[in-house]
Amino acid sequence: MSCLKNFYLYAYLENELSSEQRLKCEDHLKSCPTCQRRLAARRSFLESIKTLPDLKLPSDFAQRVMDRIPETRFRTRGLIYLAGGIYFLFTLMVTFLSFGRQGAIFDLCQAAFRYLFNLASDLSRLIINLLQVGLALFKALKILFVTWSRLITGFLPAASFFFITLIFLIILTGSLTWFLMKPGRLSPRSNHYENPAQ
Amino acid sequence: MVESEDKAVVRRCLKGDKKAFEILVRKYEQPMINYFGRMVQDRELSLDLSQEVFLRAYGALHTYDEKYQFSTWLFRIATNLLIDYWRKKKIPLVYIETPGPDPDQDPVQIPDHEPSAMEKYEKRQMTELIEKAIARLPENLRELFVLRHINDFSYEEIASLKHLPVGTVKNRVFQAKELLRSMLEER
Repeated sequence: MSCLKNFYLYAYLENELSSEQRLKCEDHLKSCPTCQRRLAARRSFLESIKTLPDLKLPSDFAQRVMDRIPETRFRTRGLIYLAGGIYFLFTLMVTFLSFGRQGAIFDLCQAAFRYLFNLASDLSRLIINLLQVGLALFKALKILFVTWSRLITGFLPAASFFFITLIFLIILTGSLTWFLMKPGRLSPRSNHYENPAQ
Repeated sequence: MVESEDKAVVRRCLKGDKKAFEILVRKYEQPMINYFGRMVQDRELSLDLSQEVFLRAYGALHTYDEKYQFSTWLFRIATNLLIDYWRKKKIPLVYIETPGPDPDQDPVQIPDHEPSAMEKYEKRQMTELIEKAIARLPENLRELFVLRHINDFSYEEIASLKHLPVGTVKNRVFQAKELLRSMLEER
């Protein structure tokens, strides 16, 4: 048998050979002083690697990591479960109510349903109020704009109403663009937590 | 702690037990620092990178699939972070495409002096010498070598976390070892 390849010497030392290959290697090693020396040199090399010490680690490393972990990491999941739970209860109530007054749980379901209905109507009322406020604000802005444009056309009789409107829109668009493009406002969000292991 | 215990700890974390994550940090902090320390050769930077790995892992814990080992998943985050770091620093990654020492080639490539050069050095000097030689390895060989011989991952685990065939991993680790040995013999 010819001398052992280096690759197999490492495989032998790391127990990566099949039992048959291992026996062949051992047979050869018994009769080949050159391979014995080569094997010894590699064994010594691997042993010296094993003796490499651990790198120094600050004693408070784990604590530092824990201090940087936010408390509310799983809050979103909790909210999803909560919403799912409420939806499930609502479905359950509707199911019970659909069976009519025979069910023993009817009164409880009716009360809960009434409570949820009131909550929804309160929310609707709030939304309507907000819409009304928005409409009032819009009307006020309209009056302001008309007054402003009349003033401008008074000072600049040659300018048409549409020309003034165009200038106003340009200023408005410019201001909005500046506001949105302020440094940091539209910077890409870090997606570190999406799929770091992929 | 065995791997199944890691999974149990992960489940506790996902139930909101933040303190349980500290068990995983304490278990893997030393292997992580050993990995980054050898890869970036800068203690402060390796501490920062290790910390970042644990923070990313915590944030992505819900994506962890229990059919894989936790250690493999965690080190996949580490290797990806290292690639990101090198890209940002614009450090050219050195890939050795030439076959290097061929496993089927004639075995007599590097002369085996007797006594070995390493035997002449005291343990501390020898450690220094090996660390310097590891730092001189090309990144892709160094990383696989560190994962195999410093972090004690099996070839199969390395193949899984680096998305490489097992044969390629074995061959590259072999190249790294022979290169390292030749560097040590040069001294």
